[in-house]
Amino acid sequence: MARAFVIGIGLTAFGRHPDRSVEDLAAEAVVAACEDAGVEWRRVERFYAAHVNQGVSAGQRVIREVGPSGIPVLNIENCSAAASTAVREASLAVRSGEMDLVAVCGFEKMQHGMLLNVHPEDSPEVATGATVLPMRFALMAQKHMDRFDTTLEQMAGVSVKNRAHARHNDKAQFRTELSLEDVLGSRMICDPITLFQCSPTPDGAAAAVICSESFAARRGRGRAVELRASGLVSDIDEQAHNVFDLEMVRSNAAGVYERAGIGPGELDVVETHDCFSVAEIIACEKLGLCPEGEGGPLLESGATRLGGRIPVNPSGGLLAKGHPLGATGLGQIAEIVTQLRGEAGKRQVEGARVGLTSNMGMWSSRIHVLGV
Amino acid sequence: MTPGSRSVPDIAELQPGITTGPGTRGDVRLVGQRCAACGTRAFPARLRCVSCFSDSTERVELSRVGKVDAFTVVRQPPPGYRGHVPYVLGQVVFDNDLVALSHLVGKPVGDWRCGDIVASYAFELPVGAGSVPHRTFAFYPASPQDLAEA
Repeated sequence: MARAFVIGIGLTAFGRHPDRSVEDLAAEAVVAACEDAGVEWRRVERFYAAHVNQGVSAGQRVIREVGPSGIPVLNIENCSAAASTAVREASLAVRSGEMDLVAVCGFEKMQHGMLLNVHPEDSPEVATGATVLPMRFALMAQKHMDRFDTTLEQMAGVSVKNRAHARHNDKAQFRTELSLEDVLGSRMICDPITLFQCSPTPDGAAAAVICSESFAARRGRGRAVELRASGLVSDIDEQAHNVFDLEMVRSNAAGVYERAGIGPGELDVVETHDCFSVAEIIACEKLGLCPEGEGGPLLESGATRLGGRIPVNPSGGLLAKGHPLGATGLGQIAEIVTQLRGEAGKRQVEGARVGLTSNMGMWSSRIHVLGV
Repeated sequence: MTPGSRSVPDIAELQPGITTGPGTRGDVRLVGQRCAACGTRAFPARLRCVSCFSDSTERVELSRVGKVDAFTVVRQPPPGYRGHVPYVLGQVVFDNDLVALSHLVGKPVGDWRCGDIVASYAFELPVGAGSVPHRTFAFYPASPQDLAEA
């Protein structure tokens, strides 16, 4: 297949925007991405809109603000992985030769309060209190502590690291540092996950403009970043066997590495889905950044901090940047694009040329490898 | 919930057919499925086999004793939950290799450990806006009698 490139990104600040509509936020991100790409909206051939709880055909409502050009609009809901799913579909559309220039936007205005695994009101999951999302990651954390002696301090250390990274990200919701004591001493939500080990739920939007190889060749590569490979794997372990694990991330990563022609050792920077602190520790293992069971020691060694062997979540991750469900995957991709362009300022990973995003939605893993 | 609530009277089932009717001690067996084509078992039962997707499946009563693989104390309940807070949710491995996500009850929330041996009992839970009592299941610490019968 032909190649696909990200030539523009746009992000709103992730945070509370009580006075702005979701259409307004998304339009800001789309316009910013077009300006960053140096392309006019009228040249965009298709619009992919990623969102979770924003009502039907929210993408069409966004187009009304940006410019009703008559292009096809696709709305994509895939829980927290909606935006990275949309980017994958968009990249396949240009790689197949069907499209030359497309735009993707993920957006969400969030409800306050805890993340939920939303079920119908009358479902047994609601009645038994099983929709509380941190519960799933708390179970993984307990098992990881039991099997591999992972410590509370190692898990809390993920929040400390990512909050420190976000000091230098003006789009992040939380930009103040936390100590290990702050994280461990915050309110217990689902043992052993405390409040500051849960990602906040801001409003926000993130967009990208993606073009084909021939489009990039005509206008010059410039600051383009290639979408080298991607993968989408949905879970069997939980759906068939009630087992909460991130095995889907391991199997997805294996396929993506093969298609990208690289191994985890060739990555310079990673954005991974730290919806809860333990998720980053397990994902580091599943992505092959360390052996199974050693995600805790990897964090403790400082290897995943800025300046370390393989910086993870230089943006601050979901834990600090925030987790506006439909926008999250594109928030990750925008960070990697910024890093690979060398435009990340004080949070720049020096010399980064290959980066990976690992995004999860309920029961699915989406991974992208980007490179320059 | 105290162990005294095990003997649940004849009330509506939260998920009809997911357990056997309660015995004299409130003991229930979870009801899963076995595939007639490939033998794969699953809990709870689905429309088709989770392995070969055959629709030729049969109901099977599963053994009551299991082991806690992982657990958490939920201290902030989600909307719509009407039961006691905090509560313990755990993954219990039972009947060899099946896994159930279940309430763990019968001892203080701070006393649960991975590896605890448990058994399935009826469990009463208030449901919906009217907090109407319904019968579901939970795992309790296994008694000597549970172990003897296993």
